Amino acid sequence: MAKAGHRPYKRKLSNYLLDKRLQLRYVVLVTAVSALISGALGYLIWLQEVEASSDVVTAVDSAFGDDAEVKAEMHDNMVGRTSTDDRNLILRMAAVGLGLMTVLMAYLVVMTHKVAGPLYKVSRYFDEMAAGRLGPVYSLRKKDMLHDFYDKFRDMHESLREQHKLDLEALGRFVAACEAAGVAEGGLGRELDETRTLIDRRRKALS
Amino acid sequence: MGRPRSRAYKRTWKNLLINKRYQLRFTLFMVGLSAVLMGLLGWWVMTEAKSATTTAVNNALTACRDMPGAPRVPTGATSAVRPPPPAPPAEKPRTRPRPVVTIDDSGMPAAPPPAAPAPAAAPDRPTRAQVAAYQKCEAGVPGTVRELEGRLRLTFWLLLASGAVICIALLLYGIKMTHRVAGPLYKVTLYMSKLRQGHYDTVYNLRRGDHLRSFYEHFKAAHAGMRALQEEDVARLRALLGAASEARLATRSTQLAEAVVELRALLDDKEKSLG
Repeated sequence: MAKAGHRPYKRKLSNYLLDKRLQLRYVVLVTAVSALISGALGYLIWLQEVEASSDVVTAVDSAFGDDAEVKAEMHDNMVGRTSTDDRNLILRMAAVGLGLMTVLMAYLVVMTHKVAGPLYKVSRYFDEMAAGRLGPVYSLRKKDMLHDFYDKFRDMHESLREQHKLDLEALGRFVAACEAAGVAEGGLGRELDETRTLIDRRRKALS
Repeated sequence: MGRPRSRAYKRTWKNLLINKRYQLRFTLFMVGLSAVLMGLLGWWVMTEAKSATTTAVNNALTACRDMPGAPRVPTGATSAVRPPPPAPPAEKPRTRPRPVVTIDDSGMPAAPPPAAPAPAAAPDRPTRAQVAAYQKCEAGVPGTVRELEGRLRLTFWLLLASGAVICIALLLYGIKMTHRVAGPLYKVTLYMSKLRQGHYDTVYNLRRGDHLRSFYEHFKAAHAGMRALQEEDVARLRALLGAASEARLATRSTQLAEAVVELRALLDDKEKSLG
């Protein structure tokens, strides 16, 4: 087997989701967990904020307990301000949460692509092997994961290629010996012809 | 190749981490992210809770002082609630962090005029019942404050405990989930190792719940393809050796005899590799 080289090619946006099932399972899980944590704690933050606002309004109410008119005015004023603050807090938290989830999802798709990519590549080599072809195997990209697995695959592939080459050499030596002895006739001649065809076909499959 | 069967065996905890690099990377990312989120948002929750508690404690501390039974401060220039703060009450109150609510009534437009020096016998002297109510209220203040502070502590410990539980649960689930990917990869690695050694064993199905089923099907097809080549070789070698035997090649020359022996050895190897 020729030493496998490295073909430089870049990832495209369109094929980042190579194995949707594998990738989306992890992306959805992590995003959902993050959304749940953020949602639950965001809700707690909002509750505390509302409670604090309510306490402020209560404090202001009690401070103006003697004058109903001023008390009502101050009460409305405080309720308006605290409500606006509470609403703004929700909006800010929602915006930050959505932004975080979007960035997280994009990052996770890229991260899982580094696993799905090698698996996709190996799957294609498996398809070649299923068709009886054992052509050269190329390297993974630098930032891909599963390098250990891929190395084992390459070792196996290389070993099979070597074994097939040795088999073909043995068959070739037998055919050559028969030809040199001038015994390629009759039934043996037909078998030798078929063997030659097989050797040619296999050699092509190795290239 | 024999018909693939499903061998029933279960996962055990001791071999859940079979591809540490891959599994820990994905699991620890998930756990780390959750921990960071819990930490940051938990800190925010605690900040808000502290602020709310401070306001509530101050409310509790000042609530009794406005009661009719509360003792009056003889000098009327300052507030009955708190000592005068630097800012007048007309200024916009800040909501975050929650300030200690201190109201200075001296600057209020509708505030009652400063009390004149108290006469020897005030006309609105509190009744005994009002004083008792005030005293009861004051007696309850420390309890209320303790309860509020207790709630704050409880919030902290609940957040810490839930964060720890979530992280541990995610760690376990993450390892188990990634094992369902690492498991099939490990299985394929074992079969690849056998192929490398020239053993074309039967390929069994994945366990129930394993991922990468499509990938595994590709592998099975590749294995079947390689086995088919091997079987084709065996058939070719048998036919060739049969014809060579009929033609009595081994007796014709030493070179031919050696070639036949080599071919027979090759056939033996291939037959053994198919099991």
